[in-house]
Amino acid sequence: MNRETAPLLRVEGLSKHFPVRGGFFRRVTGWLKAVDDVSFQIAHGQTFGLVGESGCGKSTLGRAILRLHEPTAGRVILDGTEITALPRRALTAARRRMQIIFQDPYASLSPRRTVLQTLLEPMEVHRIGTPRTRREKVLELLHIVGMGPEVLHRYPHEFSGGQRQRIGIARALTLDPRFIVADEAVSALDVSVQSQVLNLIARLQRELGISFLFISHDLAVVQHISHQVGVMYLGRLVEIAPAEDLYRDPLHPYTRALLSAIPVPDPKRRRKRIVLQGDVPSPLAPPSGCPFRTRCPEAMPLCAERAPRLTQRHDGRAPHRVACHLY
Amino acid sequence: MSSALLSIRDLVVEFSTERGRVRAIDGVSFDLAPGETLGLVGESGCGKTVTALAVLGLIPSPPGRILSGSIRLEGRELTRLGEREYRHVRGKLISMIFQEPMTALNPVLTIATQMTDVLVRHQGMSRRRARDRAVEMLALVGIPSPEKRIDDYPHQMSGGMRQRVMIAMALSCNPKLLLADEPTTALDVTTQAQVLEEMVRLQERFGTAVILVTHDLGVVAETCRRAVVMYAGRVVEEAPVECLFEQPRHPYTEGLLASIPRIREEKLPELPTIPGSVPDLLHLPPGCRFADRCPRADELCRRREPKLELRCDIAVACHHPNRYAGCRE
Amino acid sequence: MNRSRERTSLWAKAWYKLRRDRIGMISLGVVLLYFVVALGVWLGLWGQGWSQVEGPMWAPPGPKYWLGTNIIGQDIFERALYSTRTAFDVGLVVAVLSTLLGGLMGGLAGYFSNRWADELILWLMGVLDAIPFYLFVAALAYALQGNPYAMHIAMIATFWTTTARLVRGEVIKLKQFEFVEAARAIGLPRRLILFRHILPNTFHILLVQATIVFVGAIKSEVILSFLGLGVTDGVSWGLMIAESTQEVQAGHFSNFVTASSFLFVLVMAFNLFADALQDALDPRKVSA
Ligand SMILES: Nc1ncnc2c1ncn2[C@@H]1O[C@H](COP(=O)(O)OP(=O)(O)OP(=O)(O)O)[C@@H](O)[C@H]1O
Ligand SMILES: Nc1ncnc2c1ncn2[C@@H]1O[C@H](COP(=O)(O)OP(=O)(O)OP(=O)(O)O)[C@@H](O)[C@H]1O
Ligand code: SF4
Ligand SMILES: [Mg+2]
Ligand SMILES: [Mg+2]
Repeated sequence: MNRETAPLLRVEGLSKHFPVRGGFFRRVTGWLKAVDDVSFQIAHGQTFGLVGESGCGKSTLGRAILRLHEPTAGRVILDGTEITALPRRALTAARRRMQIIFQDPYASLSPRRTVLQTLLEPMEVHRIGTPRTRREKVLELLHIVGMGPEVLHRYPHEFSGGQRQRIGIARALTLDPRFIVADEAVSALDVSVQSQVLNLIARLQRELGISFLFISHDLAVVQHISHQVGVMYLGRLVEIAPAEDLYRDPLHPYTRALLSAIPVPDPKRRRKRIVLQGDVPSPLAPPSGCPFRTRCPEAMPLCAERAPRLTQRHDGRAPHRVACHLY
Repeated sequence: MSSALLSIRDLVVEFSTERGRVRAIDGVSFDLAPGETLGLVGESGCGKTVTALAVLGLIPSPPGRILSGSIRLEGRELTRLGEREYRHVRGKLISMIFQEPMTALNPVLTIATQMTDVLVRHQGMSRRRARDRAVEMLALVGIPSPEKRIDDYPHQMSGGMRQRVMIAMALSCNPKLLLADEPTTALDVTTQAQVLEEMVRLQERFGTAVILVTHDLGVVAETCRRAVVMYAGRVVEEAPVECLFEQPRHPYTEGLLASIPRIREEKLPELPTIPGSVPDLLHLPPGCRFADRCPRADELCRRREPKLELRCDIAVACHHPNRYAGCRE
Repeated sequence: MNRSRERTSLWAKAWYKLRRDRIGMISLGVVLLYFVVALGVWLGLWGQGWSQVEGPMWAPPGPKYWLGTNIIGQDIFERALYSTRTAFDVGLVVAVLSTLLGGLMGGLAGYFSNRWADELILWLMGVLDAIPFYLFVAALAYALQGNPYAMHIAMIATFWTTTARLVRGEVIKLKQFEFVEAARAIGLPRRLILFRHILPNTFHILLVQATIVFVGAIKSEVILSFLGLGVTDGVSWGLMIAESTQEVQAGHFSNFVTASSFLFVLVMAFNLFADALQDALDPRKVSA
């Protein structure tokens, strides 16, 4: 099938720079490059996992793709439509095809609206169906996320974190989107509930063929759910590879450090780990050259001079790309 | 066990809320040997923090109070101490590290002021010596150029640095017991690795006993010798870490271990899960608290609550535990 | 953690909390009692004889004139009853309108924070706040020569700014919440996001603010009437206190004591009720 090969989402050179204001009259004194020149693709029905440490720009990237933040530069093409070029009105219509699930199940539902109101709203806004069919759709969605009709008239504060997250997922599904950004969708949940929600997302992906951008700081969670994985550091993608390759053969020194830092629930395997020195530099004053060089155990003089570009690894079996002067 | 540094027996802490009285922990017992690191694990709301606060005598009252049970530190009963005596214990014998380093440090005082205050008050040091000691401690936890950074305000430091400052501060009085409540949960993995490494190193050097509260079994596996697993206000299993991870005996521990996402060679089609969710503490089932979610639950489980039984260094509260498979300990 | 099975909205929970607050409920009772008095006056059940000059001057309290009469022989009790109506007139009108205005302006300013609409509203609030209140009322009363609503307008124009500031702050906070972003992701128009998702979550502020403004309006009314800038038709506690100045010099305290006690009890009860309401509605305490 041709659909398998043509990507659903293409992100090209996407940047989001926030103005930094200060001094008199709150003038713009600098720019914070939260996302800087990021490109990648997501195939139909696949999940792209995005990992990186706090503040590296994962959420900003997800929101810029959906134009919840206006991108500073770059293009986003979803299913042939250039999202970044749409005027406001057309964007509203395009929102049907792309949705988002948030991290904080406590903050992502309107506290004074019932589950039914929350789930009906997207269909009302887009004038989909009749009141009858809308209600049926809501019940069907609740069934998909494993909840029954008894929850319809309850308020968010009456649910546990995992249940709220399910409601958030149901809301994202109401418009039958082709693409969903899941921003730390399971990070706030307890392990036993986390695995329930992860399985749910994996199932939706299989059964409904939705593509996901799955954002998380947890490499283990990402591995389980992703086909492709991108590693982000200080606003840039430093490595992109199919999940198996990335975990079997991580190339970028940052990816390696990240992988070795994960605590392993097995006391007999206390491995030697790469402990990084120092802290993540401020995104306001990123280092010259390679953004990772201040903490990189293998930094060379060249790294301070020139920023490495994301390039295809030389032996090039799988499409494994890395931004590092070592390769 | 008279050799224990800390010994908690049948501790019950109750909170009165608008919905009724909640037993946040209900009959918690465990021991801690001097210099030992004990992991206290369980899901959100199972009572880990309340247990730690009870040891520190910091249960907010009202609404909370210790209903019954005993907490002994070096044989001395803590639950009957007055506030003044407790303050003495807190400064000198026990200290605590909180989850959110930003709220645990006073934002308007420099690190130097906050660290020296503690030393002056509890160790009776002069300001001068206290400052030297503080700088020394900061160097020990790996803060670069500590003699300069000591005059920073908390907001001038990163999360990882603040947590290291908290560790330095907690250990500066050389306490016998350190309570660390999710000390690295707010940190990135790479920073978490740094901080845990410092903590373990210092703990070994000073011979401090540590109770590490966390929901991350990976952290427990890497840093603790023994672990206590809690569920809905009760201890369900206590075991040496090697046994716990090799052969969990309680179905809950087993489910928890299975459902942790971990990096695997082969991707599983489906992550194992524990169905359902934690029971509401106000509407607890009559029998085992885990029965609703347990694959092995039977009539007995739903009727009678299992007691914590100790066998060969492993304590389990379950009617149908996994069989004991010859632990080396 | 809240996993109750009951179907409860946050409002129901707040009401439940309020009901268990004894002082709150007593003060609510007092306020309602006053309200019934005012309602009775509106409906013509009592307090209608406030302007009749029928009794002797300075009659002592007794079965005919419960609290005595004033300098020109009017029944003080009747006048105090009627003044309750005046107080609720002023209080309700000012509280409702200034809260609506404040909520709307604050909502707009907060939603469009750091843009021109916000700058404009902030500037307007700054200007209004900078004008001394009594000077403003005097000027307005003069400008609206004889219009009985001059005082109301002046109060609304000054009181809405506090509400607006509070609401603006809350809206700016709420805007960061993910449920607002979720609404944007769905494609909800901005108008709906503001009115459906953001402003309803400021209702607790509006409600508490309305009670506070209510008390403020009643107190200001008394002072303004005392100064001759307030109520022009009818009677109010302020006017009663103003007339009583001559009487107090002559050793007759009934008029003064009656008017100030009526005022004091209402203001006190309202303040206590506002406190209790604030506690009950505090979303942090309610949702926890
Ligand atoms: N609205 C904004 N205005 C200015 N700066 C912002 C804004 N949103 C994010 N930033 C900055 O952009 C950078 C990236 O933030 P972002 O939230 O995307 O990180 P993240 O990778 O999602 O982190 P986390 O894991 O903590 O969620 C941070 O330095 C942050 O301070
Ligand atoms: N101040 C309080 N008032 C009322 N209930 C409380 C209070 N503090 C704790 N509780 C209750 O006690 C129970 C245990 O809480 P605790 O904070 O110990 O959980 P925890 O295991 O530390 O969870 P987490 O991983 O979320 O920190 C919870 O159900 C909570 O509702
Ligand atoms: S006692 Fe029964 S229900 Fe409880 S954990 Fe054991 S087997 Fe399961
Ligand atoms: Mg984020
Ligand atoms: Mg806790």
